[in-house]
Amino acid sequence: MSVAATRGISLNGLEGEIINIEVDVTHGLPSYQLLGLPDAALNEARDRIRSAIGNSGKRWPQTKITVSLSPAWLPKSGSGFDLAISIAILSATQQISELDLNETIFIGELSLEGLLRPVRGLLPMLLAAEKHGMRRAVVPEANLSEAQSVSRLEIIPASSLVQVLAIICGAEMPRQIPLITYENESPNFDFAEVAGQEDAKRGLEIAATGGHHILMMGPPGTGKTMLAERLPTILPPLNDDQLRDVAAIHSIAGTTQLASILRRTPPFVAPHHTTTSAGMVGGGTKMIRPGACSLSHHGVLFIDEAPECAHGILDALRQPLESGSIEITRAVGTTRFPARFILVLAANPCPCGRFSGKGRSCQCSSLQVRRYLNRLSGPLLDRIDVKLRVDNPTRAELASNDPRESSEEMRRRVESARAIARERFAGLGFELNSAIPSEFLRRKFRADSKAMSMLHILIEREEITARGFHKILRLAWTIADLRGVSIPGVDEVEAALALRTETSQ
Amino acid sequence: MEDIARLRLFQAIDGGSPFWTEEFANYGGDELITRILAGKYDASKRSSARIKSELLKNQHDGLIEEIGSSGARFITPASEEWPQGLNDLVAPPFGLIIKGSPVFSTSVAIVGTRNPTTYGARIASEFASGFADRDLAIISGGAYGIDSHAHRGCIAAEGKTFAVLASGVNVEYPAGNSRLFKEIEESGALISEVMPNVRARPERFLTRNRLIAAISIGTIVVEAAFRSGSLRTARDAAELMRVVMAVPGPVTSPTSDGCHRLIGERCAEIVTSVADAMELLAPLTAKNAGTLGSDDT
Repeated sequence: MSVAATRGISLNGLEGEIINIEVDVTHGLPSYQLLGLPDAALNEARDRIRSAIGNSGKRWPQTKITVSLSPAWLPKSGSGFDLAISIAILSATQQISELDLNETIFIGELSLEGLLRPVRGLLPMLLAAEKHGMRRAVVPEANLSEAQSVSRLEIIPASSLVQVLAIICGAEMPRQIPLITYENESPNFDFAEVAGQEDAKRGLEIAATGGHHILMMGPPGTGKTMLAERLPTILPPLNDDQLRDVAAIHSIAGTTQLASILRRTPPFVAPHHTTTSAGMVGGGTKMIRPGACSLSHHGVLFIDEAPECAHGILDALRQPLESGSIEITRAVGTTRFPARFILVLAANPCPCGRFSGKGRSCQCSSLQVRRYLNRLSGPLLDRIDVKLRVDNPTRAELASNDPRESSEEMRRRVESARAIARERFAGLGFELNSAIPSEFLRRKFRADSKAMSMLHILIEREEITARGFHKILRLAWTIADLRGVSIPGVDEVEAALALRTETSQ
Repeated sequence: MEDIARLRLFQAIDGGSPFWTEEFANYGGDELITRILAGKYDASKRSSARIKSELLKNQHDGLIEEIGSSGARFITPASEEWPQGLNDLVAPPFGLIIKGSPVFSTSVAIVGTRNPTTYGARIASEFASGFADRDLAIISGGAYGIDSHAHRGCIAAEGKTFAVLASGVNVEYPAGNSRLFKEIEESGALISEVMPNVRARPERFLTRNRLIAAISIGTIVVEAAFRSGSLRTARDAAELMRVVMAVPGPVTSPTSDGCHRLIGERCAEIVTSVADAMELLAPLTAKNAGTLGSDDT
């Protein structure tokens, strides 16, 4: 009897730690002990592994088994250690020959039959393995798609314990992995499907270009959700770094959007307005999970009926809006998730939603209307650059057969405008107009002198605040980039002003 | 004495009642009080019972002290600073409480919704600045929205602005406007038809509106929904033969619906700029504009 060791990974947020799984098999009464702060799912691993080993034609040792997961002080959770533990047990009982597994990582949950099941958070696990100098990883075949975005690691997909054993003992590691290719299938949504709403489309295009946050106001049924859902279709596709970050977050959360993210589509997350603050920013007791604001990293966070959100939920977004990440502290520790998104808020003009057009059927009192809209706090609204009024399209617009502009055409403009901005900001540490620091706006990136004096007059007349002044300049830069103007002038600043004050009330 | 009676009646009787105004005209203040205390009026009608009990309690000196301690003063039609326009009302107030400087004789009322669009807020503020530049004072209520924006526009142009409140002059309602009320008091005055410390009641807003209409030489409705209290001010102003003006907006905007209605009913003149309004108001801004009689219009 002897000791054997394999490697697994434990996640804390997006950070992973290599876990040494040691198994000691000694003489004594048959028993099984798991050390190293396991949670319930990990404790149940014994019964899964025992059945899986038996059903894979191997023997469960009738001796004293001690499994130690180190570092021992780190709480570990989940079913992802099943495979690593069973390989270690089989190795310790000499049922498989001694192998050099020091640079191999095993991830996967076992079914009672010995099949390998997918796990959540595989991508961040692999990224951590790569960072810690691992060479290869055995992963469940069902997780293969996300595993493929990790380039410097040899990925060995397997569908069962038997297959894993065959691969590692056969000394013949398959060099070629069947590559699953994602045909660049066009996204399901397209702005061409939206009738009318030309102003709103222009506003969204500007927001997508500069990374500005948006408030859409209008009566129910006018297309606010439809417009917001299509915003990701005009955002540039995710680059490699962004893809990894976003896919890793979605991998932990186990969302269904992972497939489209792996096709480089920016995520679109629309939490319901009854969501909790844990749902919005993340949380959890045993394992801290990312919330909607992290799931929408590099994409769009859409909150419909935003004024109906419970008190404090929207304001919880202020930290990520400011810093681009969210730090969550719970009893188990502190975790930081990235959260840099375009926020899209939608609101009705009043609680009943009928205060538009003649507004005569609206029964809301003036106080109710004011309370409803005041639920969007000032500091939050201050961070919103683009305010759009969305009204019903006209009959002519609905009936029109004219070909409407597609998302692709819009996205091309967004991309070329972003390229202009990127070039301008080269070496400065930011890429989007919405991220220009205010001291740069006052010196390096001013509008032309006429536009600047116009803005100063507005400040003097107290029509805009100093913060508003900076916001308008950032928006004006985006509009200038889209128009191909090298420096924002009076026209661009006026357009920016109009966008900031578009909504009524 | 007449003023003593006036003040006691002012405290006891809610403003805007034609009946009590007529009784006052017929009997004079002292005798009216005697009659009320003697039970000459049906106690179940026109709040007579409540008025009687107030009159039994209130004392002239106590009332004067209460007004004085709020930093305000009580004026009557006999006072020099009495806004003459009030005399055109069917039921002019028994008196007014003023906190600030005397009411400017030529003033324009700017009224409208409490929830304006950015367009309405801007127009209210710019029109107020424009009138202030032309030496006209601004009169409005103390509510959020158009009222507040009109006051701010006037203050920004260093004009005189007056707020007619439905509550006592020292009751800051709405509380969010308390700083604005201070600025209004420094610029012009806070005016009220009720005693200090009295809270606003819904019906008082309507009786208050008639004062705004009467004191000013003209009323501009900037934005008003279909059911807006400011339409009442406009109608009051029209009955007093004042100039009534309304600013149009998009026909799709519910907050302009009331203005369009006034224009459509030929109740208000359409104005699109301060210059437009001045054309209508200029004939009234001559030196005797304060004593507006019906022959002026």
